[in-house]
Amino acid sequence: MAEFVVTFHPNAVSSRVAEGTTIHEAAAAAGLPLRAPCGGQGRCGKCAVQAGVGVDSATAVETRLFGEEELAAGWRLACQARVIGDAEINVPSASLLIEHRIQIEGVAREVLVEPAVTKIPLRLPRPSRDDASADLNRVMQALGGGVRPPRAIATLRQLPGLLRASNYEVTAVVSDGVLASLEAGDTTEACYGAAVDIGTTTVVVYLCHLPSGEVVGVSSGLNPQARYGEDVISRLQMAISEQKGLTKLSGAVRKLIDDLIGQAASDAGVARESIYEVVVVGNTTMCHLFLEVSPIGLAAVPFAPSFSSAQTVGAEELGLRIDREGRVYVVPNIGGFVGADTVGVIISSELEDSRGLRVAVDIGTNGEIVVAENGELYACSTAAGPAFEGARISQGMRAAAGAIDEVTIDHDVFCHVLGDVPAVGLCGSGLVDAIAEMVKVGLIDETGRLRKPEETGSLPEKVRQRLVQNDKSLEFVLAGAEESGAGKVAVSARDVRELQLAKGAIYAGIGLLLDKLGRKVADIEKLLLAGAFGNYIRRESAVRIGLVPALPAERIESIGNAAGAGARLALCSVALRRKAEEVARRTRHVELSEEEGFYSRFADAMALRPMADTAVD
Amino acid sequence: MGVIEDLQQAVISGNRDKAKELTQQALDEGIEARKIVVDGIAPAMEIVGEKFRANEFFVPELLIAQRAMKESLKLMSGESIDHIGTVVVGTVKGDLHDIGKNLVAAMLEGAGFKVVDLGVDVAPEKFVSAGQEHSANLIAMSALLTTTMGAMRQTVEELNKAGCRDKIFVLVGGAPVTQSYADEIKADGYAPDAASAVQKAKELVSA
Repeated sequence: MAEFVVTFHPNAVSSRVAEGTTIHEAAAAAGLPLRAPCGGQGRCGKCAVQAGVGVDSATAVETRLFGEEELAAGWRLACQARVIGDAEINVPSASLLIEHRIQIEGVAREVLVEPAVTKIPLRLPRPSRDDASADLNRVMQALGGGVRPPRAIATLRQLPGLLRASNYEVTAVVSDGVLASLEAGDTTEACYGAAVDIGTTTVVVYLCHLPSGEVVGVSSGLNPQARYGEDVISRLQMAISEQKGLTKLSGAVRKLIDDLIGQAASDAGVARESIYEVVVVGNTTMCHLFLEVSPIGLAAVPFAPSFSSAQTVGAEELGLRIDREGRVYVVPNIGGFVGADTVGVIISSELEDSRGLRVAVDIGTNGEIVVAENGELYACSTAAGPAFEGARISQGMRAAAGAIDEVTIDHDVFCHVLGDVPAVGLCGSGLVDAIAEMVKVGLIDETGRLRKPEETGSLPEKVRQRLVQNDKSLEFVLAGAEESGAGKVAVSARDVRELQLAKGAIYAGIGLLLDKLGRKVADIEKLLLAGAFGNYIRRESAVRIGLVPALPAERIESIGNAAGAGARLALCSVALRRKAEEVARRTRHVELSEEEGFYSRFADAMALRPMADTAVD
Repeated sequence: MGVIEDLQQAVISGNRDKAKELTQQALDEGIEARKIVVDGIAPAMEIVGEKFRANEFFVPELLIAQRAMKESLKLMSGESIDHIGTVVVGTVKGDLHDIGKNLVAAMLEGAGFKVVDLGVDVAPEKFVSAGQEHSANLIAMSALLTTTMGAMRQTVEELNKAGCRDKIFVLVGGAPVTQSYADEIKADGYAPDAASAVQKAKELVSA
């Protein structure tokens, strides 16, 4: 088959691909991954590129999506356009899957550092005619009764040479009570572990010094699976229906984790061989994909995962280059889509021991909710994330350069844009802010209807002028083309509806879980907002539109990347690891769509107003 | 304004007590049930649908209009109404999402269709047997997950196997579903929202 060169501008990178390859694949091959919120099905329009020569003609999907002028100007969807000759492609920054702001700090409860991997320095008596006991016995005796002999034959094979070469001064690496390996001399300080939070969108690695529990390095990257689809469902679809799909998804994320471990280690001046354990959290799907276990049961009702208990696997088997005997511990999942990351949120914010009523909301690509009181725990997940991360919002994007992240409206509209660049879109916190401000000044009524220009006579002229009729639908322009220096950025009537769906699901989820405890919103002692979104969102805005319950400010707290903090705790404390296992079993998983009354509660929760306890219909 | 116009307003604004009261008044005045549906309920629900498509109404407004409509229809359940067709609706196997499906069912009912709602997690064979049993003109399927929409294709295949594909139209919708997917599985129609579903259903049965 013929091969052609595809060149991408303005980055001026290129790839050589076979005829018929999509531009999306060609871009990935050129090291320029493009967005694919819909999984490359031509639905979302987020991978729009401008093609000159060398591509086939527009498909039916594209002729519906683009206007005549756009088509004439060569606009195509990268996932639909196929290479038929040497091609030149312009990629707007909004279509790029780019690095973005992420959350790397986290809270940690007070915890006794007691890692599963410890190092014990040994000075062994040399063999003599009085003491001709075996080398291994000599080591085991020095270690005392609590340690079991090595499982791997390699450790035994290493023993005689090592003892003699190191003058019988060695360090034993003990992992979960088993002698894992021996090292020459005293290496007790060179003992590290990595805590990994696999998010659907972002992966974070914390390198920790195990004896002290301190974080010595942090690295993060975009989950490379995102190029196959931005949400969990499109990745599930790929894993179960595409040949080698599971292998590809698993390999991609494991490769990234290995790279991130290497990066954090080299930044901290730590050798990979001094890392003995990796602890992983992620949602249920991410845990399955990481271990390359088919998540087929999660694809449809009743959403049964393939495993939910904790898993321990050799690091080498997963392609993670740490100590040869190093292990990977995957924190257990709760049930359905509620995974190890939620267990991490629970243990890092001490929800399992909470006496008073606490609610934790972790908004990432999915939204997970936990309610806890007197040791009783309930959790659920909602597919609320896509609206907050940009998918399904007409000019939505993640919190990257060019994203409007704060909006204020008084006599005019004022936007804050991330990075020193013109506004090109709107990230989750910007969307919540924009809509809350629009509600505040009366541009949007409580039902979410964008008011018509003739109904907004009392508003300042500069604000009114921004309300424009675009085709059949109204939109509110936050940054005009002349203001942003790029294209205009607007909130459409449809975007308001998407936000209502997302926030309605979260609020309804909170309400349903509170019902399980027989409690009301007013009873909430503390509302914890986890995840990057929970940190960056303006609380007044979240309360104004009823994304979170209307509680006094002192009862709402942002807790950062609590899932990652949970992974660190499980890495540095065996006691908390056991606690995580107990919490996973104890937390009751609620499948919202199975719940009686979810429908009307969801609809009620769509109203854009501060929400307290909703009246029972 | 006459009682029929008042009833329309009550349904559009979702005032169910008023809708009930006005329906009773209309019946008391001797207006035939079929006329109340054709001149009152159906145009009201059509306006509700238009407002939904124009983003003026959203799910909660549709829901209360639907509740008002049901109150009205309940009073006429004993009366003879000329249905414009029979539709079997349901959410496909493996999927529990019913909000969109319920809206479609209500809008179809409001437009004068007889609606047989099979609920959620409906197997392809069940769609087909219900279609045959009720001599349906149309099967309308909803799926909210990329991973479950494959069941739509299976239903079309089951209809083929049962030899009644030529008698029953197939209409599909739901977030991951597209016109291209509908074409691919040889469905007769695709609707992006509840209001369009009614329009499409009317087009199909009158064709």
